[in-house]
Parts: sequence; C-alpha cells; structure tokens
Amino acid sequence: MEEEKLFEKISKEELEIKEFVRPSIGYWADAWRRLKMNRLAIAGLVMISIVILLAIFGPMFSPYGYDETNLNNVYAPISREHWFGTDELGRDEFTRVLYGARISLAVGFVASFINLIIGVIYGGISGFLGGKTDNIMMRIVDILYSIPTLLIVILLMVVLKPGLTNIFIALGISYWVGMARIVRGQTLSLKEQEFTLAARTLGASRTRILIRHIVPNAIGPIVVTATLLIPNAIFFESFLSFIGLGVSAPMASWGSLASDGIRGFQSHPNLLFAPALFISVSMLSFNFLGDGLRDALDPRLRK
Amino acid sequence: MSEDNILEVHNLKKYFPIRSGIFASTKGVMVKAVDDISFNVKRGETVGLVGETGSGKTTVGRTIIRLYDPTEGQVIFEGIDIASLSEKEMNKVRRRLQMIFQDPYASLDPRLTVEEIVTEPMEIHNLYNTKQERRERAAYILNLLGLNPEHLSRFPHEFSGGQRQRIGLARALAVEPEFIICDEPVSALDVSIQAQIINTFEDLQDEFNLTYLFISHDLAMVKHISDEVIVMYLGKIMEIAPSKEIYDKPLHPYTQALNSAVPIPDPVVEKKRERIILEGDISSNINLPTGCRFNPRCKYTMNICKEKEPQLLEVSAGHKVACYLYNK
Amino acid sequence: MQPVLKVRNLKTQFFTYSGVVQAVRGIDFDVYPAEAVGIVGESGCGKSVTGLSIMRLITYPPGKIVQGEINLDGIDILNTPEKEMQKIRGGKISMIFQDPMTSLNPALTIGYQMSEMLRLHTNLKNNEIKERVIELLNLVRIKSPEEVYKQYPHQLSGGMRQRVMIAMAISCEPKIIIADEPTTSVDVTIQAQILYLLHDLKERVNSSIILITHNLAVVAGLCSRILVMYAGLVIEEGSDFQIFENPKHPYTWGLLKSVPRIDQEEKEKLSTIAGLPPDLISPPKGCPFSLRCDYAMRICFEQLPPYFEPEKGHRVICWLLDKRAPAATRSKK
Repeated sequence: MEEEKLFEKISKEELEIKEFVRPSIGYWADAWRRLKMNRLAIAGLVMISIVILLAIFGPMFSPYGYDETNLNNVYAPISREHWFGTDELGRDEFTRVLYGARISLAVGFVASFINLIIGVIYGGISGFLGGKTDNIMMRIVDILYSIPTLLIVILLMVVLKPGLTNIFIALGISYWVGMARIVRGQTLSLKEQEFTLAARTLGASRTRILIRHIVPNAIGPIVVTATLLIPNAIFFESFLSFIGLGVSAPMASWGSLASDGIRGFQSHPNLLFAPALFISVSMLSFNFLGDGLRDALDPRLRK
Repeated sequence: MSEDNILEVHNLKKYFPIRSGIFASTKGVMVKAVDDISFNVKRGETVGLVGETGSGKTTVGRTIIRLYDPTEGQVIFEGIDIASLSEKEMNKVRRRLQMIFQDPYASLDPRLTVEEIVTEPMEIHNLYNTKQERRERAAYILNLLGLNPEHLSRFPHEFSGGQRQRIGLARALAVEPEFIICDEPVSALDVSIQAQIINTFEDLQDEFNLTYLFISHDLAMVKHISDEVIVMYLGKIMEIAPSKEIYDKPLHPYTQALNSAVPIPDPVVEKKRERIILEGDISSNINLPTGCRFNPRCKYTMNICKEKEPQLLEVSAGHKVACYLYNK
Repeated sequence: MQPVLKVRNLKTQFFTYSGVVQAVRGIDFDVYPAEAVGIVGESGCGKSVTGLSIMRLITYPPGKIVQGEINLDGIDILNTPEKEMQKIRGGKISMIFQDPMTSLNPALTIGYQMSEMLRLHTNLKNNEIKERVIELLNLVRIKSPEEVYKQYPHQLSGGMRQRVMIAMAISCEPKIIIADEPTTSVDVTIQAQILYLLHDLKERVNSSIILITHNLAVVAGLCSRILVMYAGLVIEEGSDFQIFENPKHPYTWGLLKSVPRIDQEEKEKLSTIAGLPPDLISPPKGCPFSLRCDYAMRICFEQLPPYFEPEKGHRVICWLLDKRAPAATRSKK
C-alpha cells in the first residue's frame, strides 16, 4: 500500500466490528466434550455398556438355561462348550454369571433410581423450605444414617424371607439419605444465588423457581451421586447374597455365585473367579465413570 | 403521600437474628442491618444510596422489593404500602418494580438461553400471547440495549461481563417497569465498560421516564448519576442532599471523610488536597456504639454524641443531616 | 542513578485448552530506587501477570515466561535456581496481594507468621525477633501491636489484615514491594488509610513500590511514574504529570474520561470506549486498540506501532505520533 494511504483515517463504516462471542455450546455438549477427554471414564462407560448388553442379550443366545442341570457334566473345566466351566449341578457357569448380571445390575439401577426419587424430593423440599422444617427433616436423616444397613436387613429377615424384595426395601430405606443431603446442600446454596433472587424479584412462584432454576442447576451433582450409588448397591447386594441373606437358588446373582464358588475354590477356582471378575470390573467401571462425570459436570470448570 | 413521589419509605427497619447452633433461640442477638430510615424518591429521578460495608444499603434495596420482609415500617410504592402485601399480591407489584444485581456472572441462570432469561418475566406476568410475540419483544429490547438479537439462543457464559449486565437489564425491562433498584450494577465491570452501562441507564431513563434507586459504594459514580444522594452508615441515614451539594457542601463529618477518601485522577489536585483520614475501622453491626453510630471515628465528638442518637433534620432546602453539629 | 529493577522484552504465556494466551507480549521498564511506579490497566491486560512474573510466581502448567530478562539489583531473576529465589522473595522483593485473607495462614497467629518470615530472612535472635515484629506493627500504625501479635487472621478486619500484610512485606527492607490491587477489596475510607500508609512508608523504609491497579485515581496520589497496559503491552509510559495532564494514547484519553470525577462541577455524559479488548489467543497484528479507536488509520491495522518518545521519559505506542499522521488532539476534557 502507498505510504500516504496508510496514514489515512479510517471511517467508522469501514471498520467491521468483530463481535466477541464464544462458540455456542450447550451444557450437556460441553460436559460430553470434557468427559471424552477422560480416558478412564470412557473405558468405564464402554465396559459398563458391554456388561449391560451381555446381561440383556447374552442369555438369549446361550444354548443353556440358567437352571438347566446336567448331572453327567458336573465341574466341567473351561472349554469351548462351557466358557467358564460348569458348577456342581452341571449348570453352565457363563450363563449363570450373565443371568446373575441381570439381577445385580437391576438391583444397582433400581436402588439408585428409588434413591434418586426419594433423595431429590426430600432434600429439595428440606433445602428449599429451610428453617425449622429443614432442621427437623435433617435430624430424621441423621437418625436413619446412624442405623447400620445390615441391621435393617437382619430385622427385615424376621418379617420377610430372604430375597430381592428384602434387598430393595433395605437399600430403599438407607441409601437415599446421602442423596438427600447432597440435594439439600445444593438447594440451600442455589437458593441464595443472585439468579434465584432475580427470579423472585420478577414475581416467579416458589414452584417455578424450584423446577426451572434450582433443579436444573443441581442436576450435575445429582447425576454423579446417582452414578456412584449404582456400584454401591451392586456391591451391597453381592455382599448380602454372599453371606446368604440375598437371592436364593436357583436364582443367581454375582454375590451368590461367588458364595457357591468359594466352596470348591481350591479345585475349581474358575467358579469363584468368573463372578468375582464381573463384580470387580463393573465396580471399577462405575467408579471411573462417576469420577469422570464429577469432573465433567463441575460448573467451576466451565468457562 | 405527595403526588411526585413514586416511593416513600417510612421508618423502615430490618433486623436479622443471629443464630448459633441448632436449638438456639431466634430471639437473641440481632443485627440491625437497617435501623429506622425514611426517604422519598420522586418519579423520573435517580436517588443514589451510598455507603461502605455494613451500611445496610443492599438490605434497603432488597427489603423494598421484598426479598426480605421488613421488621417494621412502611414502603409506599405508588400509593400502596407494599411492606404489608402478601407474597401473591406482591408478585403483581413486581411488574412495575424491578431490580438489577451486582454480579453479572451470578445473576443469570447459567442453564437458560438469553431468550428464556428475557422472556421469563413476560411468561410470569402473562404479557403477550404467543411465544413468537415474546421472542420478538425480547429481540426488540436486546436491540435497544445494543445487543445483537441474533444471540437469543446463546447461553450467558458466552458473553462478556458488560454484555451480561445488559442481558440482566433486558430482563428487568421486559415487563416495562417504572422503578428499578440497581444494586451495585457496575462495580464488577471494568472502567471502560462501566461508562457504557451507565450511559445506557441514563438513555433509558430519558426514553421511558424510569426512576432509579442506585445503590453503590462508589461516591463519584453515585454523584454522577443521581439527582439526590443518601449517605448511610451502619444502618442509619447520615445525610441526604442534592447530588451537587454532597461534594460541594457536605455537612456530616462522615460524608466529608468519604469525599476526601475518594481519589481524584489528577496528580496536581491530588497533591494539594487536604485529606481527612478516618481513624480505625467501621464498628460492628452487632455491638453498635451508643449515641451516634459514627462517634468512635469522628473528630468532633461531643458528650451528647455518645449518649443520644441524633435525628435526621432538614438544614436547608432538600438537605438533611443527622449530626449534633447542626442541631444545637 | 542505576535502576534497581530492569525488565526487558518480557513475554509470559498461558497454555490452555483453547490455545496459547499471550498474556504479556514483550514489555520493558525500569524501576529506580525509592520510586513508586503504577501499572494501570483493565482486567486481562497483563498487569497482574507482570507482577507475578517479576516474583517468578508463574506456575507451569499452564503459565510460562517464554522470553525476556528481569534484573533485580544485579540478580538475573529468570536464571536463578528456585532455592535461591525463595530467599529473594520476601527478602529483596516482596508482594502484597488483593485478598489478605488468602495470603495469611488462618491456623497461625499473626505474631508467629511474622516471626517465621524474619527467622527465614534475617539473622535476628529470638528475643530480637518479637521486638522487631512489634516495631513493624507499630510502623503500619496498628494501635495495639501486642494484642494483634497474639491474634489469628480471622479476628482482624480487612483493613487490619492488609496492614499486617504490608508489615510482612516491609519486614526485611526489600528493594521492591509489588502491591497487586492492595485496596480493591476494602472500603474507600480504609483504602485512603492504606494509600496514606504506603505513601508514608515509601519515604521511611526506602523501598521502591510497584502499584498494580485498575483504578487510575489511586495511582495519581502515590506514583511518580505510570505505565498504562493494554492487551499485554505497555501502551504508554510517563510521569504522573505526562499521563494525567498530557496523555498521548487514545486509550489513555478514553480511560481518563470514562470515570466520573467527584470534583467535577457540571454533570456531563461519560465518554465510553466502544467494544471490548482483543482476544489474546490471536491478538491482532496491528495496534491492539485499533478496533476501538476513534482515530484509527489504515496503518494501525497493518503494523504494530513502535515506541515514540514525544518528551523525555514519555513513551507511547501509537501511530498518531508519527510525522506522517494527521494531527489528532484529545477532545476537550
């Protein structure tokens, strides 16, 4: 350019003012982007998906039934026909582990879902109303928290027979308190945020504030807590079944399979390792995913 | 109630209980955040409310709009005592009475788009019939405030501080209010952006005949934007004066010290200025000094100042002060 | 007179997910003994990063000083081992932060924290240390130093904590005190106390002060030389008189006129600077202020201007000072 022109004043019209805006990206898209960067969490997610798919479809393709005994072929070793061998009644261990996965995962998801519903409603009301109501509701939570879950199960045994219902009730009574505490804490702090105050000055009703502003903003910690509750519930069910308080034969869960397997542990270790492997892998996977979600959904990291 | 007054505050008190422990009674110690204040705001004017930490200026704003329920007193807005309205009735008044918050990052719900934020008040008050009409109205307001209406579908975190404060302003304007309480609306922004927002406030006032209660710790800014300035200290009004007189003829020793503490961007003036440096810190709200609340830091303290609280009295037209120096 | 601090071509960058943020893009300045220098600018201009770079407190990742030279009283700061740096920090150079609460340890008494500092940097004996701490607390005008000595940070008010921080900063008679927004989180009457104290101390302890702030008015009373920063560059440097009475850069003009002055007689509209500062991940190749500038010429978008020196000690990065540029004057006050 010629030198004289360089020092010409530029008119306003010539200036194309570039607007400063960051690329539009929604909350979940942004969280997914961050989750994808976390390799362990993604590995966890993949493993969980595989286990779930196996639990749903595996038994359909298996030539054996979970309770189909074959006394001619007891304690069969690992082979092409029986991937994990057979047990003392000749039942296919692989089929039983997949079937057990249905029970164990169902316990995990259902327990987590029940706790999610009770915990969010209870914690949300407690935190939102505040004051005396909050005080009373939280003391109840403290009391429930102080009763060992195992004690509840044993007490329930007096009334009911061992079985799935028993486990669901026990988990339902005791596990939601953690969720309720987290939701209450979130609600208490969100209630004081300026955007909630702003909604009040606009004339918004309490219900509207709770549904539109508080719950959506608390969803991150809720999702994380619910995710981390699943492995907890699975582990608790396995533990109960292992000590004989859970599901009974011929039904199977990972815990009861492990319990059966431990009897012949020295001669047939495959019967213990198969369910144990599934328990450990799913435990780790859910925990990795939960931690990953915690980082991905943390609003402080969102800039 | 005088015709020109859009708002009259009479003997407003807001006390907060201090609770410690679960079973502690709420009747114990009180923080007297706002302690018996009265003032009027004329329609179409801007009244500035200035004070330091613990002065109660934010509490005044929040009590007027009923984010807090007043402990005592009346708040008469357009002839109605809104301090005694039920939550439901108050929500209707909120269409005409709005508020802007300090922190442009915290005052917008991060999960909603700009459109949802700006149309929410219209939904609440059932203005406009369809979503489309509300969207058009929102776009119109954004345009008015110098924001690009194409950004309706974006989220708050995609904007800068100044832009966010405009979105907050758009939300308040959505219901076409008459009175806006601005609580430190620019103190979180950079100076060059502050000027943009302040000018927008002034333009809107001219266009829609808005009335502002402008709350801030920045005396220079308050003096600039206001017609009248109220100086608060520890929950009490120390002085009310036309904005010109607040710097030229400050009466209360606290106002004088406050003026002197504001630095002036001019080294020549700054070096010549006589400084009043206040000793000590602001007293605590819990153990208030007896008598005048300013007496422990005041250099003119007399015996009476420690015994009885001075009344806020008019000393010249539109200029009131609560100090025994002017009340003999 | 030899400068006590020399900064040359300092570049500090932050390596973030979205890209490399060029926070400081090559700045030079000197600080002379017993002088107060103000660094003024808006958020994101690089003023705080400059302060932290001089202290070598930039942590990697994400931050890194990528180029430049910092010479403090003969010591090459950028090539000093971390062990040595620990002795220099608090000894030869000290820093006061915006929030004194986070820079004091809440679990230890004021007396303990101050003594610890003296024990690390001086050869004083135990009984002398307490005496010195009390003396320092007196120096920053704390009324009952014996009492404060035994107190914990949360028992003090914001203003008092900031005084304690200042007492700690001057305790080893450093060559330079860097104060980063020391009055931003306190009330105006307390701000006046602190500024008065800094002014008073500068004369008495013979240290240089670098005052970093967003508030132009704050530096007017205290600093004799001022650096205006914008988008990682010092866009104008001069004496207090040159910057406030005879500024040359349109950004400085805008900054001065966009804040209301309390002593202003008649009410008039504030002048604004349109737009926003540039994104420092990909800063413009020309003058960073060009897009917001009312006087912008073609060249401003093409080339970063060099430093012009209209007067001794007054440096400006702006093409308006070039002989070929049309005359432009600041619109009336």
